[in-house]
Amino acid sequence: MSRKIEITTNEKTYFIEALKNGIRLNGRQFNEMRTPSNIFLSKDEYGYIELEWGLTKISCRVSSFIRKPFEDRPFEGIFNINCEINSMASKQFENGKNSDEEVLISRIIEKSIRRSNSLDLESLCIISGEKVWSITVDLNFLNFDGNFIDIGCFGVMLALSHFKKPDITIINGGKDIIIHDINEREPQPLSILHIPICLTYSFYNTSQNVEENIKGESDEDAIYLLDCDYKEDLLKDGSIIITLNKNREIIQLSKNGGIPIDVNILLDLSLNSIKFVNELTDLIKTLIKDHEQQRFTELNLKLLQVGADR
Amino acid sequence: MSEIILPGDKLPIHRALVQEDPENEAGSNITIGPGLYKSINSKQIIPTQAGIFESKTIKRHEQLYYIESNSSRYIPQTNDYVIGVITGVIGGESYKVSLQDFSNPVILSMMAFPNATKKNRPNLQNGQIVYARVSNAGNEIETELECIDPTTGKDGGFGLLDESGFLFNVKSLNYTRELLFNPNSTILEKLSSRCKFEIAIGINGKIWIKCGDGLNLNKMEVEDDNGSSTVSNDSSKDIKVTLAAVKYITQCQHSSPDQFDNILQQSFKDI
Repeated sequence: MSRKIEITTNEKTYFIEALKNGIRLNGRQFNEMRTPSNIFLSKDEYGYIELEWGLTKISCRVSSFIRKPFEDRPFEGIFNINCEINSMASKQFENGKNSDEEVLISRIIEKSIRRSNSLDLESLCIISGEKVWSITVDLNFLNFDGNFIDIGCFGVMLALSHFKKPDITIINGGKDIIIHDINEREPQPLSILHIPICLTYSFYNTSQNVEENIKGESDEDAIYLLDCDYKEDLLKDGSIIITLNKNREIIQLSKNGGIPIDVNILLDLSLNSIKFVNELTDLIKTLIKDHEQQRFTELNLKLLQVGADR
Repeated sequence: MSEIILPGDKLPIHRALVQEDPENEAGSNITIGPGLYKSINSKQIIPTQAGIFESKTIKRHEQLYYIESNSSRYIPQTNDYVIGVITGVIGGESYKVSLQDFSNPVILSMMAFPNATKKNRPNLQNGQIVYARVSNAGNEIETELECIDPTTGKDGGFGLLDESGFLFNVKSLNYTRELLFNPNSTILEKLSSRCKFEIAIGINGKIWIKCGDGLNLNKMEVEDDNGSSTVSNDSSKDIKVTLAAVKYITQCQHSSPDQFDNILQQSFKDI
């Protein structure tokens, strides 16, 4: 059995010809994203989400437990992202075997979120050097239709915003702690410093003369697409991943091989991306706010509120 | 007579008929179609797929039995019309062809083309697609394709599908059978009211379609030198029409016949 999607010359020539005429095979504009749909935020479990993005589907679960911190970082909590791609998403991914592509996907998501300090690790400390929260995110890809990185990053941030860890009380002068049941005391949300958003642009070489383009002599032939689907993903000649947040900070730029990209294009891309970053950040915030509101009314938590609203 | 059957169920055929060798039983010739299997030892007919059991009288003394089911995985059967993607050459004698992603490759002999000889063989590249007939399919041997109409020895519409057309996949194999074999199906008839097209339907879930003149790559290169833009405009229109047609065909798959007109209008809205 072959583990490859066979792409025919018909599809390839048609795709390139269509690009030359300004058409994408899926009917979108060149810099048009698919919108996330069917977003499910679990009501019973904090930190479990599922979402669809075109035909790509992911599920994401955040879990927490208390452990001893690393020796060299006694004030910091521990944060991990587990990213699993198996053949449920698409048969091109093999079970239990990490291909280069899979490693790249999980590393880029980890780089954008964990290494950019989007989660405040010091707030996860309970007793320094003794007890800290360890937060683990399990990201599972359920269906593949391209663009795992952007969607995975969005999903992880949504799940982290949704997650709440149980409230704790320190007793006996810092020797022991009580972990309060989530039904006993309102659990606490994580402190998220900023929301990184990944945007992947795929580049296509439409010129007949491949060599010329590798040398970077004909820039006008380079076409880039945002949020590619699986077919566009297979045909791409190169890609760049830009991670940004709402504060207009570039968190990472990642380009792994492929055709060269002109500096001007890179600047354009970063500027254009701000629009999508704002949209997606606002989407995460409204989703969480609506969900909180819904939960508040459903559980009638107003009855439990003590004191006046400040 | 139609009934829902699961693999291993007893078929609603008269028992006596089944147990006898169907060929020898006077007045009751049985032809079995997809989804049924005749056990070599016990001479029994066993269902191998879940679906609706259908029986038809094709000639006076001949009964056709088959199971109508819908799946996405294609299992080759003799005489199926399929579209295959060339993925390699085996031993300089035949091509390796993929009928569906993530499935076992099948074989297309270089001799299985009209007028092919040892010296005059077809020249197909990896990634090109062919319309072919399954000439040999079984569990014990490798599946083989051929690009000749066996009754005439001519190409009969089989062979290379050129790059002026677009290839796309549909999920449901039942739908491709409907398009190819049901003469009462109105889907393609309705499409023909909007554009001129040429279509090849493989019942392995692949459809090749060319609307208008399709992509004319050679012509475009010549015209490009003169710097005229008329040709690219034409091509752009054909691409749009083709994509609209693809959208229409794909969406009809999940809709009832009374919605077809609506979908057609929606798909061709921008043109």
